[in-house]
Amino acid sequence: MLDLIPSEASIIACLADVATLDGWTGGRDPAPARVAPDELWLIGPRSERQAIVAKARDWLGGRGLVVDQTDGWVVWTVEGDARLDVVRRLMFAAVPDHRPAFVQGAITGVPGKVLYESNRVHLFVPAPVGHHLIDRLMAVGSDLLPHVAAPAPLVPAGPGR
Amino acid sequence: MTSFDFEGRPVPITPGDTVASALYRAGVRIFSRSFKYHRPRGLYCGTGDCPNCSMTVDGEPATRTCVTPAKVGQRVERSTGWPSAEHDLLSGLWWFRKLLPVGFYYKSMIRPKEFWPTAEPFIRRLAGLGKADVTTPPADRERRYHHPDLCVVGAGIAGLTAALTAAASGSVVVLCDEGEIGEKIPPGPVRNQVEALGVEARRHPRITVLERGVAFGVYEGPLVPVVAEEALHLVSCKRLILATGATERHVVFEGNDLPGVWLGRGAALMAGRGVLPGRRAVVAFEDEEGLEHLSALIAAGVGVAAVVVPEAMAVRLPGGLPVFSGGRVVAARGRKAVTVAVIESRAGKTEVSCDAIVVSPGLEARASLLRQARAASVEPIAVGDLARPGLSAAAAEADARSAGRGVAVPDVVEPALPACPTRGFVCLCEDVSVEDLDLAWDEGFGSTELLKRYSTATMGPCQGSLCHAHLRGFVRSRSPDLGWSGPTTARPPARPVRLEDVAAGARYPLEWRTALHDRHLAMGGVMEWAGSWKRVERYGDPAGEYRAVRDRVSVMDVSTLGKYLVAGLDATAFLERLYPCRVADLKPNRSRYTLLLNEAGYVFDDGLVASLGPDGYYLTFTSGGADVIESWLRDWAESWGHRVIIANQTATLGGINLCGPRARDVLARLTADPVGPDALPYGGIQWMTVAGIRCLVLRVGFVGELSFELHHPRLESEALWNALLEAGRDLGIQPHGLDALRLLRLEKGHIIVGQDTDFDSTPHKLGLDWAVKMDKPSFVGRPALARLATIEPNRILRAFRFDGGAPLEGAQLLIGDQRVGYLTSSRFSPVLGYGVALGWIYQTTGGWPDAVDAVDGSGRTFRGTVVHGPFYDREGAKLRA
Repeated sequence: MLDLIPSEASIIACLADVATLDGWTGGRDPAPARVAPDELWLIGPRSERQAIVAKARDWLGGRGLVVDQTDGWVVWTVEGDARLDVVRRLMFAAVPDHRPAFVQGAITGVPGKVLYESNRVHLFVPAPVGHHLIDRLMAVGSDLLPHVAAPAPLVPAGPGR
Repeated sequence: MTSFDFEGRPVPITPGDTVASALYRAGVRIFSRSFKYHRPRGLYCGTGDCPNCSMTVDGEPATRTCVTPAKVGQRVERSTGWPSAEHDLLSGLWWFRKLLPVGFYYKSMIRPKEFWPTAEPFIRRLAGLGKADVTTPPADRERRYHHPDLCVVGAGIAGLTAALTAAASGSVVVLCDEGEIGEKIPPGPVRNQVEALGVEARRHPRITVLERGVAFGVYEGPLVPVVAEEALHLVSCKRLILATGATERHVVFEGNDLPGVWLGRGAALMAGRGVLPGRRAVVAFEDEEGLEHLSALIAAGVGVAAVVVPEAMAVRLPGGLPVFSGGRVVAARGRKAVTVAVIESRAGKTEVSCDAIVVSPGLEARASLLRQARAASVEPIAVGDLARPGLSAAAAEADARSAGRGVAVPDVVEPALPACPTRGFVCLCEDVSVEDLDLAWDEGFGSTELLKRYSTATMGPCQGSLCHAHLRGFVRSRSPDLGWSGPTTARPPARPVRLEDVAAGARYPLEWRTALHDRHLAMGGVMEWAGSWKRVERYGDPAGEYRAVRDRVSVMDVSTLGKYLVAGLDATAFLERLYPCRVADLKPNRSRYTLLLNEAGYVFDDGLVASLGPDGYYLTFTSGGADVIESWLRDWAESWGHRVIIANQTATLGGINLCGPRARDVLARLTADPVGPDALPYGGIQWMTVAGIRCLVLRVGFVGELSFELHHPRLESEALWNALLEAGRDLGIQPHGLDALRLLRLEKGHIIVGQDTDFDSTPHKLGLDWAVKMDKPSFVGRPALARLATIEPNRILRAFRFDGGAPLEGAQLLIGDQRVGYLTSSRFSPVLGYGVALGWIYQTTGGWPDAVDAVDGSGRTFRGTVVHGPFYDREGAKLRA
């Protein structure tokens, strides 16, 4: 079984120097993901978009820039026993052993990012090719009985969740 | 009865048959015709290592039928020979071989040059390995990615043992073999052992077995691509063990390519399938395996005409056989198949009547992947026959267990090179004989690499599996310098691979879409590619769309523009040093047009730079340039050590250009913010709330009318688009596509980078000197432009007016009979009533031409004059309204 869920996420980018971003003190709520030495993503549910922006600005102050990148990305969450199998079919980068884990690389030919949690996987691709990701998920997972579920907020696993 | 179709007749299939074994049983002896001389070729290696059995199977040429399972309903035909492989008239070329020596095409296919366009199609039909079916869509195969601890290529005793040992110690393993496990091994104890290990491997939870999976290369990583029937598997592994085994060494003597000459394994495999390779065979061998083959042939019922063996082996032969001890086969005779073997022994030369010559001259490592790996700086572990051809099964198992545990194994031992032959075909794929190599050597091609390139030996479908050692042996015999006889460079693919396999998983159009894509389609938009993006070409009425912009109000989806934020302590210094325009004096909420130059001073993109005050800068670029800009920005920032923050907003923000004389009226209906020319003048930039959506509004002018570019969150695009259309409904608002845009911008004389520019277009050549501030101390491309300023350009981009209509784009510009340039853009302007164009014009002896004739692809001629400045709204009053 393979559940494909269009996830409604907030993606807030914090852009600053390496030392500043290394000092992130916000824990795992929202979920931090380091996409580059000078860029840290904070990922949470769409409904908390403004709150995450505010939290990021409070933390960074004048030391960097907070950019709301939510509109630029499409997120599909994959659940079910075959979730890792289908990711392996889409992505050359290896599936990491530990959870949570954040991996970047080409997903079905487009630059993407993956947030691995213990029982689900969140796939991020640029919004202009979001249609392509679901097409490919359905194609490569056709033997895994894919089922497209209703949109749901992306609530990262973490303390208190 | 189960059968497949062979050239119109049914061929019965017996369980376990390959296509080749079924055909051989049905009496087929000529399987192909050779590449150059069209000599008849029959089954030879039986293990997929030679080209002889290549046929077209189900429309796929170059299929190795000796390793292709026979299936009911297959369509099989021979790919070569005219009018047929059986009776090939082109085989007469053999009698003219003196006229077709090695490399003849380099020397003869030159003059007369008028002849070659006619001759080339004919020559192409003579050569080749079959005809690709271009009418059938390629199979839609997927890619599969694997990240095992260990990848093992080859599932013989060594490969299976290594895989099972590694898996037993906890490693995740991918094991691949180009056939089914055991199928290439003649029946016997070794095959039984391999099949038992294969069962164990298939059941093991940590081993993924890819049977009929052809590993065709080894790349850095290591990465091993494996083509299987259902998918292309890309195996990225921590360790690589190669156990590709060995093939029997190719035998080279006069007539060695005749049907009926077999390598021992091929003949024994055929016998094992119940097919007699011949009724009366001469069997020659030098090792234990050859002795097994002899037994297999006798057991299958093959009559033995003679056995040719070393003296030490003769004592081990069964009694009653005619034995040539210490002899060797030196020639095969026959017209279309072997009828006589010539054996040289102490007694002299003896001719023996036979219909098969089965030769087992020892083993040659299948080392193509090993050589590829070494070239890719991958250090695989080689085990089994690959490491030491002829290794005993017990020794191979021991080495493989060590390799599986990651323990060192003995070094690879390369067998001695074969003695240089005097007659016969060295390369069966390319029809290269010993005589050809002699000639090439005499012409000065004195190393394996040079001989390979000149003669094309080792460059055919088998990629040197058979002939590589002989090529080296030939050079070794002639040159004492060991360096000249070294191995040639091995490159993927090691085995023939279909292009559709290489493209597996990538055979779909990857189109980038704006948030309004579906909305455009619903409005009748006809889409076209613009770089990676799909954009609207037209909504069905480009003339009406154009009129809407010029006369009323229009909208266009410009979400595809590159959009970036640049901030940080050094943002101003960074952009000042990057751009040829001034940046430091840019006031907050103002923008400026800028060119993007490379270090050579050539224009590769253009766009805007806008100041957001303390928040940094907002940059836009063309849609085509959006992809590469980020790395360009980051590379320079890093090179200069500037402390800047760069945020790519291209996918995050949508863009809608609201333009036309009534654009301000529409905007004013949707915002409470001031929109007048004082609040937002031409070149201005302001945050506004439009239809409840926060937008960054830029006063721009690409189409030459009052324009507001509304950059907004992508998810709000449709709401904003609908609101603009609704607000402008009574004013006749109508969206426009690229078709209208191209005319609108041309009337203003605006270039499109990529269409009107070339790779070496400087600002000066484009007439854009005003956009470059050479009094700045430094910017990217400045040193080059300073040097180029001392050189008069040989051509420049000019605007042209054509009163008789608009030539087609690409039209040649002439003065008399002299070609002086060409048009890059050309349209008829409805508002101006004449043709407008941009084009490159060359300097003539009389200077830069002012008037030209344009001759386009339709054959029409247009008289044109050079125009300085824009065609439309020359003072820019409409733009700045």
